Amino acid sequence: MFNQEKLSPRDLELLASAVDQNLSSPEQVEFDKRLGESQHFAESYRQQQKLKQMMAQLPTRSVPHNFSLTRAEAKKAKRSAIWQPMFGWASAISAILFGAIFGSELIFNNYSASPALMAKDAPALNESAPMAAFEGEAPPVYFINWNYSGFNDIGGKGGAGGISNSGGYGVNIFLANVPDLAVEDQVEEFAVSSAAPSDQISELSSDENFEEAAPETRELPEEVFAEPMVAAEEVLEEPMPILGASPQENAEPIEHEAPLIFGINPEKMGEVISESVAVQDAAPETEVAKPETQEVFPLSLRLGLLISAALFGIIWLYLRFKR
Amino acid sequence: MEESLLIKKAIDGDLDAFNQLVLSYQELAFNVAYRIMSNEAAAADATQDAVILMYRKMDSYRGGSFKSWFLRIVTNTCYDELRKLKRRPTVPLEPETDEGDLVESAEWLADKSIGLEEAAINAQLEKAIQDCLNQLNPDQKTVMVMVDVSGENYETVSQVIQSPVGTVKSRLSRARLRMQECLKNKRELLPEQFRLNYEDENV
Repeated sequence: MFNQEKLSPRDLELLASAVDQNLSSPEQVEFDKRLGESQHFAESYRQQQKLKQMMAQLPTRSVPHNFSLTRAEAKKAKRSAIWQPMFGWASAISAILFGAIFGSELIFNNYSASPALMAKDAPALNESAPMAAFEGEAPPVYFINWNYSGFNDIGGKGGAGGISNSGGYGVNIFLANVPDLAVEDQVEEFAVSSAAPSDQISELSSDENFEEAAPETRELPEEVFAEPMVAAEEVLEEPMPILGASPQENAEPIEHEAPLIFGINPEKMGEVISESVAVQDAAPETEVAKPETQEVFPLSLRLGLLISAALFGIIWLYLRFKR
Repeated sequence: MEESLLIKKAIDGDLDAFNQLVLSYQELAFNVAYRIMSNEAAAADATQDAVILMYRKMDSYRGGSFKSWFLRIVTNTCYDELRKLKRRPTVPLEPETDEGDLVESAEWLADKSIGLEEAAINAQLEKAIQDCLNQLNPDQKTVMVMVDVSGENYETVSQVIQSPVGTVKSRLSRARLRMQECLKNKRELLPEQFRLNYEDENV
């Protein structure tokens, strides 16, 4: 039985050349050798010769009409040869522009959204602070007492809430990067120098963490500073770390002037402005974010490009595949 | 006029020169198209499309055999058409008998120069060969039609299919082997003188 697998590619080439009488001299030698070696090869050659004769019997068809072009057909052919690539390019350019606009807006929105996202994520980040505080990795909490005149110009953080007999003003500002929970833990640690309990501090805004310790200059509302004042007295009862001598012994009464703090209205000092966290902080954020989300490219432009790409593409396909 | 001069004029936009080239090769192109498409109307359409495409692409002709270039356009157009037909099959509008059977409108019925018996033999042979040709894959079919039906040489065919001559030979030989297998199954339909001898197959 004839089996194509029994004939190597070289055998096939030799057979084709032999049937078409196209063998070169070396090929003729090779062919004769193969013819004597393999009966399959010889039989294939014989069958293929017969097939070629059979194929040659097929009649030649006469053309139904001349295929030459008229002037009108030639003009039409040339015209469509211009329009087809033109629509193809137009469609491609529209699609690329639309893609570029869409992509750039995507990138632009992502970049502009990142500050908002950061602000949004900020509480979540702060929530991790208490855990960090337990692990001893919490950022330091500072109590700055501006009333403490310092000792030999040594001021510093964590000073007591003003020396009662030194007169002057005491400003307790609590600075912390951690939320209240962390502060409560830290307050115990800094109880010696703290002038106000943490819960009181947390309820007050930065403007309200202002203590005017000079009784002769101004009476402060009791509900705000009662506890801090008590706390300050308690602190004074405890021994202070002294370098050389105590400040009471060495310091002469110094007249202190109220520190100039920009942004604090002295006439409104001590007034409770708010006891809750200002909710209105969120509103300005959205107002600020609003202009950032403004569309750079108008919707009509994008729609126009999209429609153009589709329309030109359809016309191109029509011109490409129409008969 | 010399072919190279006609080609040059056609590239420059001379329609008459282009048409002269078309007339020189239209019969060959149509017959190749007919054997690939196995339908006269479809072959005529494919040839006309190929001529229009050739007119558009005359600028891209880069020398070599014009016949090979034209035949390459024709074969590509034919296979494009076959793909389209495969996607959207059509039903030929053949005349029917009263019982609803299709009337076979063989071309040989119109040929008065040959006898009825000879015409019937030719029609049977042609049908059997065309059926087997249609079973070949496009590469083998193109080579077989050009070499065995149109009588082109290997070099021309290798330029048409843009492959080496060795590839043409091996494809041709494989195509012939497949044709043998196919015609063996149609042995009873073939005229006596064209029946391939399979008596000694199992030698």
